[in-house]
Formats: sequence, structure tokens, C-alpha cells
Amino acid sequence: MNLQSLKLYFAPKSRPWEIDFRDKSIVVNSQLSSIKIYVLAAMGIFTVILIGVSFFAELDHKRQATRFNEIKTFLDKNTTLHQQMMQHNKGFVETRDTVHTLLNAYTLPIDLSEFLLELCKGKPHEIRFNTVIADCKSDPNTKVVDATHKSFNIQIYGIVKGDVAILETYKAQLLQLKAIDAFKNSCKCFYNLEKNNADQQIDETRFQINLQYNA
Amino acid sequence: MDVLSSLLGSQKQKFIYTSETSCLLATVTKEKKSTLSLSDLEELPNNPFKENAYLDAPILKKITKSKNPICIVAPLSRFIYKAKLEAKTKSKGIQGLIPLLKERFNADLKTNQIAAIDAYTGIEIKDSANTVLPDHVCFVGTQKQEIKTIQNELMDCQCVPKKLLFTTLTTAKGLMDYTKLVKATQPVLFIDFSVNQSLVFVLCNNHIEAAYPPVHGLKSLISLTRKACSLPDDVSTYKYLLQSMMEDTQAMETITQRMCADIKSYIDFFEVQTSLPIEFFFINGLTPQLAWLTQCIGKILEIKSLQIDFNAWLQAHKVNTQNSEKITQISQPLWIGMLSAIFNYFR
Repeated sequence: MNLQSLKLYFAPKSRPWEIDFRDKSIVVNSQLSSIKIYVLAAMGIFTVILIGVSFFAELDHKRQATRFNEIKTFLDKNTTLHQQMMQHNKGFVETRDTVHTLLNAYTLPIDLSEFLLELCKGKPHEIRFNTVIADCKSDPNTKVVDATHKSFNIQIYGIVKGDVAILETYKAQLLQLKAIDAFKNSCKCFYNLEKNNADQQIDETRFQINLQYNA
Repeated sequence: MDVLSSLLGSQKQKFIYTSETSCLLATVTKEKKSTLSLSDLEELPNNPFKENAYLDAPILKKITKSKNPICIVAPLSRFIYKAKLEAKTKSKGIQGLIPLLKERFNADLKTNQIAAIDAYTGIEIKDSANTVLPDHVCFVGTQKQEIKTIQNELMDCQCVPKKLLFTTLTTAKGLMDYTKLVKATQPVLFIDFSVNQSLVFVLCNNHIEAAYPPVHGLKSLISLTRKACSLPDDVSTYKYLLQSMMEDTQAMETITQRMCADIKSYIDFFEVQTSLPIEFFFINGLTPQLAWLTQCIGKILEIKSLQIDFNAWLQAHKVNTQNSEKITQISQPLWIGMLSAIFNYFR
């Protein structure tokens, strides 16, 4: 099948006795003009959309500018007050830090007096406490006071009369106390610290109990 | 849209049929079961005397913005020629038809739009390498300028025609279709009545058997009537032809005498040549007011006018005949060309 016959095959076949006398050039022109109309209409719609979009963009821009000016005026009006407030805030922060430092220094994880009262409840009269030192190591940078997480030592200095075994018994007794639970693993007892007592006649032995607080 | 509507089972098409004296409008819907339903039927008069225009303003107003209608028009300069091709001409192919047109029919291809059709099948002969020319060819055409004027006039009112057909061919096709339906084999003399001239040809056995030079048209009849009846101008004479000629038998015979003489000579010539008697004739393009012309010619020539059994024809083409009012309206000789175009389109 050659191209010519293909062209003939696909060409619109006119019906018998039905001859179309249209001037094809006029029809093509009219179709072209209708295409032109569609193109112009599409361009018109596109232009209207563009104008609409730019109008709304401009409107939005104006709204944003008004808002920006309002904020600027507000800022200009309140800058001095803000600076004053910032100054106050700085002072407040400094004060707060000082308070934190102080609180860190003076706050202990346990009530010391109650603790000592508990220690003294089963203490034999041969044992006498001379000095109690509560040593609290606080971090000056720590701003939040949390006493239960502090490192804390209690050193008890005293004298035991007679046999030192009493002290050992007392120590075993101490370990049973509820108040000492937090110190259990680090309860150390040193005694006879000064063997060369000045007065050898008196049967007294100096001792030291170290309690390390383990939170 | 046509594809879509045909897929949906219905197809709608508007038809505009215009002659010099009338305009017919119809919208046809092809429903399921291939039934044709006719609607928006209208019959409007067209003034044949206007200059530089084909259609009257009310008609143009009516057809404004019609979507792709099929327009059947009647250009004043339309013609139909028939030629028997000799072997020498046939051997030259379609190029051999050009000198034939010029020499025998004095038809210029530059100024005229001409279609060559097989006189027996009605199929258009197109210029291609494989074209084999038939023995009998008909040339149908008109002046290019007139086609342009009509088309521009239609398109000025946003009515872009899907097809632009000729009333002459659609009516001839309609008559051939009907004679085939009723199995009538006798030749039928076809007179295409127009303003300037009337085309004359003979239809026989579904083909164009012979075509003859044109005879008198409306203008000649008006001129003769004006003289015979001493009327002041053409317009009033036309009115007289439409309204009062029916009663004036003598004038009727006088003005058609020359026309009838010409036609009679063609009939005689045809009968001698083919040995087939012409018993029927049909005049195309006559409004009901000009129907007297058919009676007059039939009486003078002693031949019968072809009577169409519209009911049978419409039923054969599955036209919905339930609305009797519409059927009565279209059952007129004037509607044959329109109906033929409709049937051919929906075939």
C-alpha cells in the first residue's frame, strides 16, 4: 500500500449525490478566528488572575507594613521600660543566685538534731560525744537546691570510758537504727586515736565515727 | 460531540434548506431504534429580488448561532451538465475533463466551483492516480463568488455550515430515492425552477439520464406577465404571480408557452433518442403559491406531475409519524430536498 492509496483510504468519503460545496478557506479562517477567540479569552482570564494575585499580594504587603509599623512604634515606646526591666531582672537573677548559694550551703539532707537525738537514744553512758561536725560539700554553681543529692559527711568525736568493746557494741547497735540507713555502707569507727593519753590513770579512749551520706 | 451523542444512542442535527423563494428549517434527532424525530420545523419566505444578499434578514435572525447546520442552498448561477465520455477523454483521466468543460459547456474553472460526479452512481470523481472515469459524467457547479457570498452571509451570523449542499442535487436524489422505493422505472423530467433560469434534466432508474440547456426562470415569467397583464413593476408582478395567477388561466398559458415549447422539444428529443416515454415531471423550488405552474405545464405538455406518497416514504426512512400536524407540514413537494438531505445524512 503506497502513501497515495493510504491518503485516499483515510480521506472522508462523500456520499452519492451529496457534494459539499463549502469554500474550505473560509471555514479554515473561521476556525482559526475561533481559535484566536479562545486564545484571547484564555489570555484575558490569565491576565485577570495575574492582576488578582498581584492585587492581593499588594494588599497583604500593605497589611504587613502596617503591622510592622505598629510593632516598631510599640518597641520604640517600650524600649526604655524594657531596659529598666532587664536591669531589674539582672539584679533579681544575681539575688536569686546568692539565695541559691546560701540555701545550698545551709540546707542538709537530714534534720541533724533529730539524727543526733536518735543516736543518743541507745547510747551507753560510758560513751560521750564531744564534737559533731557536719560537713556539707556544696557546688556553688548549682542553682537549684536539692538537699537529697548533696554530698554530706558527719564526723562524731567522743570518749569511751572503760572497755573499747562497748563502742563496738554501740556501733553494731547504731547500724540497726533507721535514721542511719543512709549512712550504712560508709559508717566507719576509729578509736584510740591518741594512745599516749596525758593522763594514763583515766581509762578513756578517744574515738571518731565517720558517717558518709549516700543518697 | 457527534461521536459522543452517537455512543449515547441519539444524534441531533440541524438542517437549513434555502431556495430563492423560501427557507425551511428542521432539527432532526436520531433516536434509539434508528427512528428519526423531526422538530423545530419552520417555513419562511425568501425574497428573490434583493440585491447583494442571499437570505432575508428574518431568516438570518432565525438561523443565527446555529451549531454546525447542514445547509442546502440554491445559488442563482448553479448549473448541471451531462456528458458521455469518449475513450480518448477517459484515457486522459480527470485532466481530460477540463478542456471538455471549457469547449462544450463554456465553464471556466477559475470562476466556477465545479464537481464532477458519476451520472449513474452519484459518487464524486476526485483527482487521484487511481481514478477511472465513468462513461457518463455530470458536472454540477456554480460561481465561486456566489458560494463565498452565501457562506460569508451564513458565517456573519455565526452559522458555520457543516456541509453546503445544492437543492438541485438533494431534491434529485430524493426523487430517485422515492422512485426506487415505489419501484418506478419510468423516466421523470426534473425542472429545477430558479430566478434566472430553470435547469432541466431527466432522472431514470436512479441516475441522471440526460441534462438539457436551461429554460425560462422566474424573471422571464415575471417579464412576460408584466407585459401580458400591463403591471407596473417586477415586485408587484411577482405578487400577482403568487396571489392572482391561479385564476388567470389564459395569462398562465401565455407566459409559460415559450418555456413549455422548450421543454416539449427536450421531451421529444429524449423519447426519440432513448425510446422511453416521459410520463412524469417534477418542478423543484416552487412555493405553494406557485404550484399553479406545475398544473399549467402538466396541462400543456400532457404529462402527469409526480405525486409523492409521503407517508410511505417517511415510514421507509423510519420517521416518527405520530405527530400528524408535522407530517402534514412536511408532506409537500417543497420539502423533498430537505427530507432527502435528512435521509442521506442519517442513512
